Amino acid sequence: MTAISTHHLWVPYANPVLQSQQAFRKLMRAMSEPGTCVSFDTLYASDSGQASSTSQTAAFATALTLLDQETSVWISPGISSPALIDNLRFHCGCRLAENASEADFVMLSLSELNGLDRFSAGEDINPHTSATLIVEVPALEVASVDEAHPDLLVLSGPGIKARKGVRVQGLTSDHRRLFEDNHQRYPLGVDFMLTCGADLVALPRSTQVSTLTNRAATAGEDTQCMSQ
Amino acid sequence: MNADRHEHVSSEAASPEGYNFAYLDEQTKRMLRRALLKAVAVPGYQVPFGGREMPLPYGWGTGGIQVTAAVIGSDDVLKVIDQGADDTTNAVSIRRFFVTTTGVDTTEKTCDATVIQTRHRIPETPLSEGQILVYQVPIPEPLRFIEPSETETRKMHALQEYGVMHVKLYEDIAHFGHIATAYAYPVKVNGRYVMDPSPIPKFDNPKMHQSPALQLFGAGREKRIYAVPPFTDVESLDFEDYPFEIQSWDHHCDICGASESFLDEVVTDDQGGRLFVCSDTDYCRTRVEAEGVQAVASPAKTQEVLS
Ligand SMILES: [Zn+2]
Repeated sequence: MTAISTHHLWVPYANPVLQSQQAFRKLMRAMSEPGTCVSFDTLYASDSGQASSTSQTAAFATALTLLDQETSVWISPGISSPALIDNLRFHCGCRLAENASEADFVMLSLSELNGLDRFSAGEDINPHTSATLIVEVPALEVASVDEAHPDLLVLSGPGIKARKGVRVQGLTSDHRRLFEDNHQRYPLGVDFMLTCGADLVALPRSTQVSTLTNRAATAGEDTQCMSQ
Repeated sequence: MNADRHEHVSSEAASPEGYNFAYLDEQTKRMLRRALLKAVAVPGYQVPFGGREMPLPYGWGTGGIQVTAAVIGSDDVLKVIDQGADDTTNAVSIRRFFVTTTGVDTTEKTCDATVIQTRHRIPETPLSEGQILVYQVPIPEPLRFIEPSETETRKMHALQEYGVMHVKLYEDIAHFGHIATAYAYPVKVNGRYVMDPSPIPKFDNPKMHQSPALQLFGAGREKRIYAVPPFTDVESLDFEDYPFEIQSWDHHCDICGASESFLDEVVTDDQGGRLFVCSDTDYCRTRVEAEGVQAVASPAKTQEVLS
């Protein structure tokens, strides 16, 4: 293990106990209400007046909140940087997995998400041993399900009253199939946390993902991330 | 390099009385939080968690306390109930524990609470979006009565081998002519996992179905966490010709006159005098306080029950 360089360390929570709790509640809200966008912006603004000094605020907040020496993380080549690795090692103390299949958490970019085989989907008797995928996407917003759009995912299932829409820039038909395949093997499967800057939308394995839209595109509703 | 991280965290979080916020150390909270996210992602599935023992006797609600401690924040408003009441020893102890270790505000009003920890009841007042209901669970495994081995019950869940649950309910019908199971009545969550809803009366089961609130379950002795996200199907097991039914009473509440709440029978004297009163004390009091609802029982008897 090489020594950590301090000059690129990001600013952690000013008050780790309070901010971890607040961040966890956002994560739990996102995971229990799939398609809801939560923002981690205010976490950093509140006490310290400092930004987290990384642009990947949501992913970093998730790591600070959930990762420690009991967990392992695999970082994809496209996401990996000496700064990210040093920050995870220093602030979280988590283990870096050699192989994606051994990791509890995986950090990767949407363009690198081209299959599910290499990530743990859990076992029949232990579906909770699956991986959580933190996927950095180019743009992310809550959207009306009635407005057809190439980036639209229509979500239904536990945590969703009827249907919810989310637009993920950079989505391909392969990604759509991958989300559908992931749900098909429920209760096995990975859980996704899609992040873009400070915003996060979760797609747990329980969520049914479809592209179904009302083709009669209506005027757009408010599509901003209206999160707490 | 991170060995001292946690001590450093703990000292920063110390409440005025010298406890870590919500008592648990940060590593234990992270472990519980990871388990909670898995539980939410697979509704009704029992997620095992590790961690150290709580310095509390089991039966005191350690599982519920651990879950509440992992989720609660300084902005929360906490309500704690035991059998529907806020003022029983168990509820008072748990409420005091969190006031001491977090300084959170508490309430007895269901509608004002953001986190409600409960033993044996779901409040009568409908819950709303954003609220979290934390259940204390003594035995998390609904299949335990038939299969003592944890390895086997996990296999049964994996294979959805749930026929035994119906056999048990059928035996009720054969013996009693109806399904006699009245508490901890098994449910199926999101069409997949059979789940023990904890020893709530089956009267409360329908409240779990498509509830706007997030429901979290903690079992301390067996170290299991499970969850029902908002707007999730929760179906009580039954038969086509013996559909699920909830308890009902020929009485109304003798204090508030409610006809649709869960009633406790209270013996008022040694002459066999008895009253039927709402088990949910906040619901009952709110009805009495609300305009237009007159106390039905004599003031003396009402006083006796409320004191
Ligand atoms: Zn009443």
